Amino acid sequence: MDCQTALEILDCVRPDSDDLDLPEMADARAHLESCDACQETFASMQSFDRAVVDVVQDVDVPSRLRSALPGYSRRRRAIQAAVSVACALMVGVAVWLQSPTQFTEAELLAKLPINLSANAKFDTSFEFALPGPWVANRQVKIAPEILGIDMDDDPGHDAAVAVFRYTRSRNAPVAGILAAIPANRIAPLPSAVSFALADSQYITKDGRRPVAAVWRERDTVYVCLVLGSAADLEQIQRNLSTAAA
Amino acid sequence: MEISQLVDQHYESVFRFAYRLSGTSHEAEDISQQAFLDAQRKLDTLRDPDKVRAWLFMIVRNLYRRQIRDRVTHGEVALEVLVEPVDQKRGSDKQVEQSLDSESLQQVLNELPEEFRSVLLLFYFRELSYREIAEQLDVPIGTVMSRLSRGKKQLRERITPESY
Repeated sequence: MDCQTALEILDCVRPDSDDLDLPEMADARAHLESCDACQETFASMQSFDRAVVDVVQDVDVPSRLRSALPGYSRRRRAIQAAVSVACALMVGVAVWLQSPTQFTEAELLAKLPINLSANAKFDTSFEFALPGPWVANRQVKIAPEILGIDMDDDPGHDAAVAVFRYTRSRNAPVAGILAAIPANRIAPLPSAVSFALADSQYITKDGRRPVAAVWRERDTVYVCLVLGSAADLEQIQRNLSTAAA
Repeated sequence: MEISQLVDQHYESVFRFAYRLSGTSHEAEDISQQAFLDAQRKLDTLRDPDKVRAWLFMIVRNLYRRQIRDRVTHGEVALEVLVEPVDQKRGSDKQVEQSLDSESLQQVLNELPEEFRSVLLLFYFRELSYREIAEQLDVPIGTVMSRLSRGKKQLRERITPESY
């Protein structure tokens, strides 16, 4: 048998198999044992075939395939569906547990105290900044200590609040509180995007009728609660918006 | 053997074989589904349980051939499945050597006629010896040897020797 014929036959030998021992391989095998060149070529062919055997299996099988094939029982399908639902529920519960409680604007107003004597110092559980005009205006004096308000059962303060005093030239000063709460805690968000644009609303609290304005700036919702009249609040709004302009 | 057991044990290799044969994932999925439906119907005709994977591959191969026939009938088939493989000398200027990876292997397989591709895949999935391939395909041993030889030659020419 010549080399070319032997190699053509040997090319049919699957790598790492017993094919070389098949009876019809006897002549090619005998040639191989006596031919160094064919031994080298055969080793190279087998090496190539081994590499292809590895790569030919390198195909990703779609994960959904098994469920589309026969023998995938209803029970198994039901179990898989139940597992999927359970996983989704667990994710949902986890998200829900991690999500902070949200309040409506009315709930926020109801939970804001007008007597802050019992409130602790704000624990800085969230970041906020006092609106610029409030800090810069000479007629508004904000108490240096920021206090915290706990509105739900979770630990940590939910809102920060500061007492302020607005002084007027001829009338008695107006007292009030300025509260800040992260915007993601309020739903729906107030429509006013500045203090000047916020509507005033009377609320009832501890037997008194303070007037409030609620607005949002960037990622914070603010409440201005004035122990006075709507006219007092509107005067502060005008003053701060003029000063800001 | 229960069909669920058969599917559990072999659906991945059946899909891989179907993918290498058809060249696309969605066709491989369709063929795999149909193959197991056929297998379920013909399960009592399985003579040698040790050759069940080869039996499934033949079902896949027959389904794929039927698919090609249907496409030829409807004028949709690509030319490469009908033509003979490019001869080494005639086609050498068009051939570009590639490294041996899954995609380049598939590319070369796609360019081979189905008769050559089937023989190569039955060989490289190592389920059947060349004699058994000849029996299963109902062709002479010499034909299998020739297809195997020419198909492998194409692969070797297209895939860089340094890569294996």
